Amino acid sequence: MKVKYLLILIFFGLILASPALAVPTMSSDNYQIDWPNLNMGAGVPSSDNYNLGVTTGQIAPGLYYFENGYKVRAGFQYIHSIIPFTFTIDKISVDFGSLTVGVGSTDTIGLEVDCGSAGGYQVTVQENDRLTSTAGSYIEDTTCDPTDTCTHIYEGTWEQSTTYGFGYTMSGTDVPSEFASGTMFKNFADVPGDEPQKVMGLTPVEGHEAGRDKQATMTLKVNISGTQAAGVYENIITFIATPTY
Amino acid sequence: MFIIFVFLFLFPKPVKAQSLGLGIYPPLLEVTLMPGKTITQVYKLSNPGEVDLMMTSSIVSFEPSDEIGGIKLVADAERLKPISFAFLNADLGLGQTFPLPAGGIQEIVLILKVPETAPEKDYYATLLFQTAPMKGYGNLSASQTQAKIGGNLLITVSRTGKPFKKAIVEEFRLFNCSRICLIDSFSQPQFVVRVKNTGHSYFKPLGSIILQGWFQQEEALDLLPQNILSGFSREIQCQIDDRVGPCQGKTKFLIGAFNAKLEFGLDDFSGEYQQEIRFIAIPIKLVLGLFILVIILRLIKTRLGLDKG
Repeated sequence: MKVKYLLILIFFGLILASPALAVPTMSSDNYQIDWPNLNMGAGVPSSDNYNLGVTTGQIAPGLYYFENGYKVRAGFQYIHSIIPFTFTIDKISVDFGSLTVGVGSTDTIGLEVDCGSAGGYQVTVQENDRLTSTAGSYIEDTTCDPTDTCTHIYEGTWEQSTTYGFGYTMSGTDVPSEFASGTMFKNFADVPGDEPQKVMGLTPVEGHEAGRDKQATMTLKVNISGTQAAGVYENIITFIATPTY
Repeated sequence: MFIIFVFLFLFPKPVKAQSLGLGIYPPLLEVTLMPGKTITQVYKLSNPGEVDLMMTSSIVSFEPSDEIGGIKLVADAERLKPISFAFLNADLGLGQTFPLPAGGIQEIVLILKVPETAPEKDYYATLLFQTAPMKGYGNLSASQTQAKIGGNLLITVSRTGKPFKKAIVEEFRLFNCSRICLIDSFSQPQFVVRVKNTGHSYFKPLGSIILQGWFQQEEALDLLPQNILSGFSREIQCQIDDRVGPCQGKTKFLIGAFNAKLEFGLDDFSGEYQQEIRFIAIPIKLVLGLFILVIILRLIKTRLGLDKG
């Protein structure tokens, strides 16, 4: 009889007991864990030269390919393969050499961006000041040819040897459309008053595609008049690379 | 041999074309936290270039510069107050100079502290790292290059975790058409969608544009879930199959009256926001072509009749 009661008790206990739940999220006052996983082992085994990231217990981790071009990277370790946002300039200094009156000196700066996000990116540029000599003389920012002037915002042509100053044009991947002809120049936005101007970058509206090795070239041009004071002229060109939001 | 050694090692030629590079991860941080709380985020700053760099860091505010995703950095410290930012690294503080060797990676632990009295709203910041300009070689006129790279932070302060979100559909129309829209049957309709965020927190519009026609033709264009920041508008794109682009239908031939319904929710598929437009698809170019052909044939026929006569 006692065994019978015990069996009935166990039976009802099993029916009424709360089911075991695999809780999809775990949270506290400060944190919420969105990717919980019951691990058999984990950690970062390491040596002098290497760190090894290990996570075990995942279901079906791996790299999967699909016919429509999609790849699925399943598993915690694939977070390391996400493309970071990187920006490279191929020169630390752009040397114009000895400047000759009426002869435009040019040099290029190569820009390269890796952008893995679908949201796009931008690279803007500004100068700290006009090209300035140690004696305090300036080479003014160009305003382009009189028939088609330019500013740091609006482009213009610069073909005449009697058009003086300092400016730039862009070519390559993801550059603004106003530079498409290859003959349009702008001058540089000046710190602190002018807004830095975009020289590279696309958003989804403009056709951005995530990827590596997006390359563009900035061609800088300097042309001086016969009245330009002798000297070594310098300034700093700052490129600001940011992803969008 | 000794002369070669002297010239190679005692009078080296400077290498001029050295590249300068920066990388940052993550590029975008989206975080919601309560007043009185603190969070940390690990950033990885890398130097993929060929020169050793000296870096400094700063936190600046940003805002959209246009409606297509561009940003403008704003050097106004008031905008981010009262949130405080700092680095948890033992040997590195926010604003301090630190070396980043060529090929090196620096891990930086950013800590955000939100005071108990912080207003419940959004704060948009960029964690910026910049190089110190380096002198080039020689005594020739030159421009030194300097690089800055930033990672954006979208910070929502909310006690409940459900900040006030609201939107207005500023524009939903056919491209190149504003009122009564007539399109050619062989053209694929393209839609312009602009949404303004009138709430206190950013959101992603989740939903689609549904095209429905007379002959049970139906097509859905999924909206691209792009962030729309509080107080700003954004033009929304669509994701169609494996590409991102304008909201444009794929169907090659449309005929008759169509209804296009924009339906989306804020960070959910509730369909809370809806707007409809109508347009008519007629094979205009085909009809015009046939009309011109008929006229030409009649002219030829008339001419032939005159010649016979």
